[in-house]
Amino acid sequence: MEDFWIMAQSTATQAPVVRPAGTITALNADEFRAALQEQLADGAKDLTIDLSDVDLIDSRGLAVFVVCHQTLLARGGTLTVLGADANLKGLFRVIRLDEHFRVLD
Amino acid sequence: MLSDQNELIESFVTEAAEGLDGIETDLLAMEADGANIDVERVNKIFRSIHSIKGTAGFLGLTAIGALSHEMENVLNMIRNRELTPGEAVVEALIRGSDLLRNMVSDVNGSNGVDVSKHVAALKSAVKGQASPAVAETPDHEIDVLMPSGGVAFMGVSEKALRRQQERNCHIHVVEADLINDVESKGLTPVQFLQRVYACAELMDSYISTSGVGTLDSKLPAELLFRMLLASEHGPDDLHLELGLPSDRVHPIATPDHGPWDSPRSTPSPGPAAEETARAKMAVAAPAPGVSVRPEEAADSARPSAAPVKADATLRVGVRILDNLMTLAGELVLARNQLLQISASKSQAGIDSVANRIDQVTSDLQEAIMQTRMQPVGTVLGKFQRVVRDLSKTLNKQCDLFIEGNEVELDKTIIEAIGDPLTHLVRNALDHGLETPDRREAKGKKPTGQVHIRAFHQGGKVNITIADDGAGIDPEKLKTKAVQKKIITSDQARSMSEREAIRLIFHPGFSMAEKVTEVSGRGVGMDVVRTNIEKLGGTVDVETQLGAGTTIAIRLPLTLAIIPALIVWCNEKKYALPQVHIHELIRVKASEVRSKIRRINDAEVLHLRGSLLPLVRLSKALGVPSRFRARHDGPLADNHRLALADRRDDGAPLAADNRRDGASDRREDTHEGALNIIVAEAGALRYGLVVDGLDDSQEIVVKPLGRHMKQCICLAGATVLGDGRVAMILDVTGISQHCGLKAPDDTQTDAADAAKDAQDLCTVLMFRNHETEHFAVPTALISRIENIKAEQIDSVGGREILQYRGRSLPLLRLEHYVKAKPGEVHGGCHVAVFNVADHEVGLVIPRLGDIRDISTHLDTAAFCEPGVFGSLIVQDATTRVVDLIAVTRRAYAEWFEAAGGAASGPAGIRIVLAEDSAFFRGQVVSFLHSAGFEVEAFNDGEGAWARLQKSGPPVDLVLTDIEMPRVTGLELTRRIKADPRLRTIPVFALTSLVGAANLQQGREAGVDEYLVKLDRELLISAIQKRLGGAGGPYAANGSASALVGRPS
Repeated sequence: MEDFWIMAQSTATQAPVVRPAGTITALNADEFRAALQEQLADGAKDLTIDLSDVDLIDSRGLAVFVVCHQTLLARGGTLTVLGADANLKGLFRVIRLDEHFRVLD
Repeated sequence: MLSDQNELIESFVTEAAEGLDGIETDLLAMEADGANIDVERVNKIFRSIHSIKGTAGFLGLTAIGALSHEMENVLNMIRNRELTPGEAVVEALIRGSDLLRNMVSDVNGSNGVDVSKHVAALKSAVKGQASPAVAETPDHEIDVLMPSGGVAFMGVSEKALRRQQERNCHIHVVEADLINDVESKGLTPVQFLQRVYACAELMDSYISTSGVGTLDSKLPAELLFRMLLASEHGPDDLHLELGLPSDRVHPIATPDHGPWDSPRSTPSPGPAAEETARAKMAVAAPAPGVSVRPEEAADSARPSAAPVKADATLRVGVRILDNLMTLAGELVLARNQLLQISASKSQAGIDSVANRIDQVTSDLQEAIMQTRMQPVGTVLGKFQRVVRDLSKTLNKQCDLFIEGNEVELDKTIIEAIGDPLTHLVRNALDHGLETPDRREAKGKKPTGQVHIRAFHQGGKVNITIADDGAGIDPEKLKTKAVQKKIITSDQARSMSEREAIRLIFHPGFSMAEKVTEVSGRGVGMDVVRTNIEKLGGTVDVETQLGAGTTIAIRLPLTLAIIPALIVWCNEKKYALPQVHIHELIRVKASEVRSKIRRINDAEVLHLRGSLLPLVRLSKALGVPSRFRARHDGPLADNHRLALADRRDDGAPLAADNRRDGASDRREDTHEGALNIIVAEAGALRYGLVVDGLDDSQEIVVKPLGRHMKQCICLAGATVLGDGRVAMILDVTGISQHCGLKAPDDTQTDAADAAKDAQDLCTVLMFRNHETEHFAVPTALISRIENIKAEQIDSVGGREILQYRGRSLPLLRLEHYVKAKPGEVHGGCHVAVFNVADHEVGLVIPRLGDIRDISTHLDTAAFCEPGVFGSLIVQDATTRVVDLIAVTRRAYAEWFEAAGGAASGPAGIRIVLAEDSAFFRGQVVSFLHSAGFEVEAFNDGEGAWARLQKSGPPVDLVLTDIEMPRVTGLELTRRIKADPRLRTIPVFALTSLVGAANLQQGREAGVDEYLVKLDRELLISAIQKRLGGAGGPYAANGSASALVGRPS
């Protein structure tokens, strides 16, 4: 699992930011999910995922994003995705996930 | 309320789904009709959508509400012929109904559905249709559908699709599961997309985000991704290119043909191959954002396709189903027994099996009926919302009270009464209730009340809708009806109030003074009535001006099986529904003459003090009334009919009977007797004369064929136990056929009268000026003369009537009380009465009825000499005239003469106990005019106190019987028990003398009974009593000596 780690930061005033690195695949998707779940455990409505250090997401990884979005939606919050590379941004656009959550540079 | 909510949602889903089920067929048929719309069909669609909208709003299903609202608007425009249901419009509607169906199937998630596109599509469809001059080949947004019928992609540019076709591309919808189809092959989503791009153009895509769960649950096992692809590859090799299973690829269009190539306007069957292709294809449509399913497309290709009725579904409680199963089991057992008995050819036991089958069948019938029964609350529950919204729109305040939600009705009826009830509730708010400030001005609470009550009564379900609003003015209705040429002004004049109010049910009659938004949309009251009557129910209106209106609906519990009485007429059996039967009466031949009267052309029956119009069934049906002289004898015309018919020439009935030589041969041993069924048709009650009565049966109602529609006397037909067909009589229809009219309020008045008979007074009603109503007690009037204007002479400022060789002084009311002058044209009436030994006539310009009125008069509103007070009679304020006071104002000298002459009784003192101010005033003025001294008290207590006290001696006590605190009888007992007072004569005054009263009075010690207001009798009785007991004053004196000084 050297190719995947997660940095998370959470302050009282700001929405939690999760910054995974490496690849998000079937192998670590559940770990990723658990990390997000932990960040949202205190009932936060918004969450930012910083993808600056991610270079590959597979279908199950993608599923985590969808699930995360649905979770926040149910709380009335928003998912924001930052720093995706061109490939990933293209993916989000093509499969129209950018219509569901915010994809920023 | 919360559990209600769940129940409501459940019932909403069922209803909405049912409503939507047949809607497409109807929409398409509507499109086929084009500008020549079938209003009933449009209404049907409108109602389905409308009820969805209403309930959705109530349940807070905003998205469903918004969409159905927009659809309703469009349908309303179509209904009002403001919009032709063209392709675009109909497709917008169909697409809307598709989405509605989806939302309804997931009610809880429906609020999350975005309906804005559909709403916009509906709006633009209307616009596009309304202004046909749009740009040539505009780009349309269309929906691409899955073969399963679901919408795959919404709002795709038609131009773009056509461009792809022009580039020789096929159009596909591809659904891929990113996890199972893509990841399992070791591809990342980006890699998969690269593969897609390699062989196709991605026109649109969609990733399913619903149903994936949350972060707290396991990750989803699939992630569906849907693409709209344009590709040179056909469906057969595209899945290979993409590395997907073949069932993931759904072809939409070939380069040669797309579903948007007006697939629905080319009914000609194309080549077989193309047909199959089309059938398999998902279809999109050539109009702004609309689409149709293939099946419907096929339907619409047959313009005259008969609308297919949606199979209605029903929710049935498990307990009822269990019960049905048990009963079915019982039935099987009984059948087995029957088979066994039949096989053994034994008679024994067949009775018990028959009993058993009878029992089980009855239970089974009941259980099956139960499955159709639904609480009426499912309909009534909607009205809270209706009332809330309406009162906002109308700026009125209204509280709605609903009672009887649990009352159950047949499902068919429940469904059918929704619209009529809604209309009635709307009416109650719109026309019934006044605005808050107007209510306050009338002294009512600003918040109006509408009560909806459902209850069982007489085997029927009654639903009443009562408001406490302004009521309906029958005069206004008449005026309006005359204006609208519904009735002539002559008819209007002869119309009773009840009839006038029933005018609101006349087709083409709008009750609203102005058609408001609220009332304008709905159906008229005539439609309400028609709909209710179609269900075998009746509607009735009760209204009191200023106090409110009550609409009463009576509905049968069920339509299918009803109890009925079988009657004979012309040798045939007819069935008369029991619900219409109030009672059965048999009038013996010997009583026919005394009980049945002929008024003009109509027969009436004297029934317990009221007159009941009679209808001969044979006459109504146009068949001869016959009897069979002997079982083998020939049929002869029934002489009974002839008897009654001949009665108007005055021939005595007995003679008729004698002439009727055949009577002793009649099958009917009580020859000449009449069998009368007292039938109820709404407010109307009449007697139906039939040839004979048979038993009562439960009959299964079969509708009559269309060719029998004209027969308003018949409601249907049934097959009797003996296999014969019997017609079912329509009680309302018969009354209409025979021109019977609903009675005026007299019956109810009479009932009220019986209640407080003690306080009634018979008065002559009249009008002085056209608009002012008066009444005088008839007891004072000796006769009424009809005179001509020229018979009146004016002598010395007073009017005199020359009549019977004498001069009768005339009084005109307007000279003595505040009244507008009455005009006398040509002739008038004069009421002649006796006051202070003089005969006087009161000029009566417009004579009215003689009525019994309550003597509890309002003495505050009109307080002047000559008027006792006022009361409301038939909604008109009527002043009761004090003739003696009026005469005193005119001829004061007569009274002085009477008093001065002291025709004997000077110094005689009478104590009067009477609780009615009216009678008290009246009697006091009689006695004064005769020269007696009177001390009047308003109850026995007061009179008793007076008698106990010292004061001038009392010579006679006059007392009413019914009084508060101490009654007349009690007062009499006390007087007769007191040794000092017992010699004082006690006269009881009463308006009605009954035997029981007399007996009680005698026991109490009443010396004489007198009828109230009979002045002459009263005076003479007093004089006789006081004068007869050993000289006028001796007796008086001795009585005084005994009574006068008790201390």
